[in-house]
This record gives sequence, structure tokens and C-alpha cells, in this order.
Amino acid sequence: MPGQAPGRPSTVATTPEPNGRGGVGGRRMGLARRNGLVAAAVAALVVAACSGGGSSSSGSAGGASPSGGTGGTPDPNGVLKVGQDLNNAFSDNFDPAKGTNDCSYQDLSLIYESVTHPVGNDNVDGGVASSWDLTDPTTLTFHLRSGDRFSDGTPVDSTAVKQSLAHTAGSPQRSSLAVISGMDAPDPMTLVVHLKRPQAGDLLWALTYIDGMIYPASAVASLATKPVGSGPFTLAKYQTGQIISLRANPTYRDPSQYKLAGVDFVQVGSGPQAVTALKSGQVDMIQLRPEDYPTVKADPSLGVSTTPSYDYVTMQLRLNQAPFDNQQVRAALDYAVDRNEINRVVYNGLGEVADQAFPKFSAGYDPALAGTYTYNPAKAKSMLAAAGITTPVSFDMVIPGGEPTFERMAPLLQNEMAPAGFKVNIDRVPGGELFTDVYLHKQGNAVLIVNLSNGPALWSNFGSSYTSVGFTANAFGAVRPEIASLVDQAQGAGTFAGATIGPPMRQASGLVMSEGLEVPVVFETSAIAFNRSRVGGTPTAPIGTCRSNLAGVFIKK
Amino acid sequence: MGSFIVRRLLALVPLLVVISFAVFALVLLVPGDPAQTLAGGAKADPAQVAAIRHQLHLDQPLLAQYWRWLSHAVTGDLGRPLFQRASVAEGIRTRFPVTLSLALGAMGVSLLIGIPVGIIAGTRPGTWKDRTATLGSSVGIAVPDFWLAMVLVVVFAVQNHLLPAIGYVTFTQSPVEWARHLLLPWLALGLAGGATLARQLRGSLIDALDQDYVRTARAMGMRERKVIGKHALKNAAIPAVTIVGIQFAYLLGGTFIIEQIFSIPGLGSWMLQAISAKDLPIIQGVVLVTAVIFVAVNLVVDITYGFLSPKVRVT
Repeated sequence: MPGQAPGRPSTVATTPEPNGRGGVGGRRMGLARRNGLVAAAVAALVVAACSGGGSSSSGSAGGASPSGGTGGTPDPNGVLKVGQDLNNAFSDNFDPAKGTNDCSYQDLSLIYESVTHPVGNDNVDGGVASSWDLTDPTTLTFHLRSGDRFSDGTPVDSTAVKQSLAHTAGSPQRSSLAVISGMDAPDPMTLVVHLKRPQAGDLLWALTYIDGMIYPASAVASLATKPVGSGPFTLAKYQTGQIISLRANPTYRDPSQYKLAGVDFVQVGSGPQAVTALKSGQVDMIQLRPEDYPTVKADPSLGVSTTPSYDYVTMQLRLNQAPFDNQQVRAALDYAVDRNEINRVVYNGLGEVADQAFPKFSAGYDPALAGTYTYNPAKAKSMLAAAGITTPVSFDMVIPGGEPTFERMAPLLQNEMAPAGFKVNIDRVPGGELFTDVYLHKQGNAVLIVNLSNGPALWSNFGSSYTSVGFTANAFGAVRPEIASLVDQAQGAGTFAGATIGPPMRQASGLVMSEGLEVPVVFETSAIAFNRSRVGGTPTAPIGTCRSNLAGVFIKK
Repeated sequence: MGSFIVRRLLALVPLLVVISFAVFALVLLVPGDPAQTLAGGAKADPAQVAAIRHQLHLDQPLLAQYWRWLSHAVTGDLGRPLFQRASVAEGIRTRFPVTLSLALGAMGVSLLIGIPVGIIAGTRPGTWKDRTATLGSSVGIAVPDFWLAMVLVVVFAVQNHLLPAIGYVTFTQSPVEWARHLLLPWLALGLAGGATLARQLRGSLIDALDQDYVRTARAMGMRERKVIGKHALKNAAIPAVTIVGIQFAYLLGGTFIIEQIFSIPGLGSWMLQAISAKDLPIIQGVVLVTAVIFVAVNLVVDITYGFLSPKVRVT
């Protein structure tokens, strides 16, 4: 949709929206579009300017765990300068209920604490709430931490949590809170949340995000410019499109987690411009795009940290139209994609081949599905012939136009599919119009998108795509009741324990792949790059796009 | 001269009305529905979409919307962005000085390069100095500003850490840092303009120096410096002033690539952001301001013509 940064957990509960690329929809893609020509020149010049040399980056390229530890002594006055495209990844508003760009989470999460907190890639822990009980399938009771205070000195209590959630629920962007039917605050440290449907897991995950950020009721009127939270930092200075300057919050409950006196988010375009800013020493840390990885890796003064992500590139198919209303065509298509080659060429080997909707580290991963669809164009072509289908099978594949990763991937797919009997017409749609053109106006037979991670909320991978409440499922004719019941089973459990939600999700994944409902391609890897002479501690890439992880990072003396 | 200026000002009124309507009509050309976007996108509740459409007056006839917009615009109220907090007028007030800093500095670089090189080449046609200047200006015109910007960044920021690669500091915060942050953008933007100006000035100076009045002045024993400075250059300056005017207007409205490369928070980068987000109030506001600046600069150029050539004042 125009100008909107479509949702991550705002849509977690019922309708996780797929994205052109990584959660920021049109904004990031718009940037990529306008930077297309410039980016190529910058990349070439920066590479040329590199001093070469072997890799001494500390990252674990393609590895399964974050890394990047560097030595040094923390400077108690050290302020980390993070390069961020504020114009495209911040809402220009510090009120969690008012923002239209979910990437604001990176900044807001350092000011506001949420009710719950993501733990790595596979669990949810307490934030403002220390624990919770699923009293019954539609009632969650949160127990708040005692002694927490907002940065203005007022206590964090159940009334503040209740009023925060009620305020945020009023935003059309934060639809995940619509599942709440009522809230009670029986005592200052307890909040009881009643749900309309048994979707406790969805809510617990959504409450890790912008949706669950807590602030005092007295500050609501001025939150847009004067945020008050109980997070590790407070806002010191903000200049639209230039800088967000945060300083340590003296009232934060666990100051040992953060060893920084402050964090400055400095405006810098994403991609090569961010790399240039890092190499010139103007910023200490950036998010790294896969195409920039070789440039950074070649520079011994820079470190890289990578973290496996649930975010995966997939081809969604319009199942209610030819040619993909035919299961035999879909099955052939899965054999027509050389996932290894795409991972090697487009992601520099950093990603993970996706032959199902969950990566290897996930409880939803089914080893039995591994390698099911190894690239085999001859087999694909013979399958089409056996089914009596005339080749080439021509179809329009929509991609977010101008987005570098997709622009590199689409021609590769086109070439890989040709010998398998498919003729792919690449249809470029501006990122901001992807939802309108593809899902509302039904443009294209297939769309190549990044299915955004909802972390340990595994069921969200399928909620939008295959259940009746998902607009993607409805737009593409992909509603599958058998998958929907498995989704209900997982999200109603109110837990993220792999032992509980893994089995139904593996079963759902098997159904998706056996019917060829989508074509997973590659799991992306989240990566950051940092200046090794300035940044110490354990810089670790966050679990996905538009996430944040600065705990344990410090500026060296 | 006074009546000349008044005539020019009056001629601007219908032009500005046409421009303002064209700017407003941008809303018709942009696909998508801002109300739906604000209501939450594809999954928005139709009732909420209708309510927002009413709130934004998008349900009124086009001319009524235009009149409403224009009556506010003339008072300086350009509306509120769809996705940002500050008003459009406030955004322009914040960002225009940034772009103006960029444009003035780049114009300074252009003039510093263009005028001396043009005079040297124009007064010594056919010499090695002229050929060098002509070759240099051809290269200057051919080099894209964004490419030059990249080279400058790599050399001065990435390799040698002499100047910052990104960012902007206001003049009031620190004049030195302001200049340090803008030096590379000024050079990147000003070089091509200087080259164009040099070529134009060279050509018109050669023409002027071939005129009878110059020959007469020389025959009367006037010193060469006075011949060039007082007579030839004044006449040769008319086309050069046109170039300077166009360049300055372009710099105020067309620096978005350079602003993007150097992460300078000016009008151009804001405009790009608004286009990407389809934030129509910002697009309308910036286009209107840019158009008015173009018109104003043209007016200044016309007045300068009148000053340089009395013939122009009576037309």
C-alpha cells in the first residue's frame, strides 16, 4: 500500500503480511529503486577503494550462530553510532500507536520495554511482565515485575500496562491487539487479558513488539515527541531524518545488560552508502545487505556478525488461476529452482536453502522434507509432459522492482526454469504498490517475496497464507482448512515450546510442500557490520529485519 | 525600470495560478488511495477508510478541494503529511535552508570556476589556454555529478578521512563543520555548472569582442582590461546570466541525488521520500515551492537583463 510499512507483528495475530523485502515494504524498496544507479557506482568504487587483504571479519558466514566478539575495555562514556536509513525506517513519531513504519521498532525498543521479550530465535521471555499464566484458552494473566519505573520516575504497574495496550490497540496499524476483548487490573502487579479467540500465542508474540510497548498514561499526549518508557535508554535529541540520539536511562532495571552511555542512530542510506559511512568512520555499525558482504569481508578493519533468520524468500502462487491451479504444474515448478545456486550467487552463501517453510534450527523443521526438491529440470519437464501439459508453461512472476536482491534473483530463476519447461515473464511492481497490485488487483500468476519471520511464533508462517482470515490466502485461493486447524492448534497452546508447537507445524509444512502450495527458495541471514577498532563486546546481528540487539555491545576506550 | 518590474510581476499572477492548479492536480495522477493506506492498508475496514476520506476532504468535488487547498496555501498552510508528524510548511522551513546552503555553495563553486575560465578562454581564443579550458569544460560537463560525488567520497572520506562522507551540520551549530560537510557536495554539484558557464561565457565573449563597439573602444586607446571589463563582458554576461539563473533554480529543486548520496536532509531527499511513500501533501508542497522559486529566479534574471541591457526594459 502506498507509503505504508506493512506489518510485522501488527499482523502477527491473524494476517501476517508478506513483504517485498524485509518488513519495510514500500519505503525500503522505494529507496532501493532510486538508489539503483547510484548503488552500482558506489559499490564499484568502494570495492575499488578497498585495501584488499584477507578476511578477518569475525562473523560466521552462513553459520548457525551469531558471533563477532571483540576485545577491549568499555568506555563508560562511549556512544555507539548506528547507521540507519531514518527516512525510510523510522516513522517520525515516537508514539508506538501512531507510527506507520514497523522498522521504528529498532529505535523504540531501546526506549520502551514491551510486555514480553523475544529470546533469540526460539522463545519468548518476560519484559515488563516477569511471567504469565494461561488461565484458560482465552485468558492470559500477566504478573508484572516489581520495582520497575518509567524514565519519569513513575512506577510500571498494571494500570499503565492496561492503558498502554488500550491506547495502542486504537491504531489501525496494530491489528494484533484486536484479539483482546477486555482487560482487568485486579492489583498493581497483575493484569488479566481476555481474548476473543484462543490465540494466546499470537498475543504473547505480538506483545514482544511495538504492540506491547508500555508507557505511563500521563505521557500519552506527548509521546510523539517526548517518549517515556522503561527501556534502557531515553531520548536526548531528535532531528527528523538526521539523528535519533539516545542516552542511558538511569532508572532501567538491569543496567548491566547495556554497556553504552548512548546510541546515536545516524541517517545513512542503506546498502553501499551505509558501507561507505562505516568505512569512513562516521558510523560504528550498520545492517549489512547480502550484496555488500564481500566488500565488508575484504576489509580487515570491519567485523561482521550473522544470525540465521526465519525470514525466507518464497514464491507465492495464485492457486485459483491457471497454470498454478494444477498441482502437477506446481510440483514440476519446485524441481525447476536451483536453490543452492541462488544462495551462492545472490546471498554469497550466507543464506540457507529453503525446501520447506522452516529453517533447520526451528522446531518446525522436518528433516524428512530436506532435499525433496533438488534442482532437476529434466524431471520437471518430464513431469509436465507426463501430465499432458504443453510447454513452455508461461507465467508472470511479480517482483518488487528495483530491489537489488530480487533484481539479481529474478533473472537467475528465469534461466533456471527455462530448461524445465517454464517461461517466466518478470513483472516489476514498485514495492509500495505490491499489496494493491498483487493482492487486490490480482496482478501476476506468482509473486516473489520475503515471508517475514515471526520468530518462534511458527504458526504465523501459515496463518496469512492458508487460513480463511489471511488476506493472502483469500487473494490467492489458498485457504486450506486442514492447515488452518493445525495453525489453531499451535497458536492456541499459548506456548512457544518446540515440543508442543513443533509437531503440528511440521505436519502443516508437509501439507504445504506435498501440495506445492508455494516455492520456498532461501532463508535469509541477518547480518551487521561494525568498526572493529571502536566496537567491543559481543555485537550480534538481530534475529531478523528491523529488529535490534545492542545488549553486550560497548565502545572501546 | 520600476514599470518593467511591475509588468513582470503582474505577468506572474496567472502563471502561478496555473502552476498551483497543476500541482494540486497531481493528486489525480497518483494511483492508490491515501485513505486506505492510513486506515491500515489492504485489510482496512471500509467504514474507517470512508471516515478518513471524509476527514481529508477527499470526498469533495475536485474544484472544491482545490479552492480549499489554495486558500490555505496562500496563508502558508500547506497541509499535513500523511505519514509524518510535522506540517508540510514546517518541513519546508526546516529543509529549505539545507538545500539553499547546498545550492549557494555549489553556485559559488560554479562561478569561481566558470567566470575566470570563461574569460581566459574567451579573451585568448585558439591558444593553449583556450584549448585546455575547452577540453576541461567538456570533461566537466560530461562527468555525472553522482559519479563525481562517489569519487570524492572515496578519495576524501573513505581513503584519507579528510572530510565527512555523510551528514549535515547547521551553520549556527558550527560554521566550520557546516562547510566541511558541504564541501564535497558543493564540488560535486558545482563542477558541471562551472564548466557549462565557462563554455557559455567563452562563446559570448568571443562574439562580443568581435563587435564594432569593441573595435572602436580599442581604436580610441582604451585599455584592454577596461574594454573587456566594462564593455565586452557586460554584453557577454546576458546569456551567462541565463545559465546561472537556470542552474541556481535547478540546484534548489534538483539536488536530490546528491542529497541522497551524502545523506543531507534537504528538500530533495524529503521529496524522494514522499514520492516513495506517496505522501501527496509533501509532494504538492515541495513542487509548489520549487515552482515558485523557479518563477522567482526567472524574475530576477529578467530584471538583471533589464539592468544589463536597456533594450530589454522597453519590451
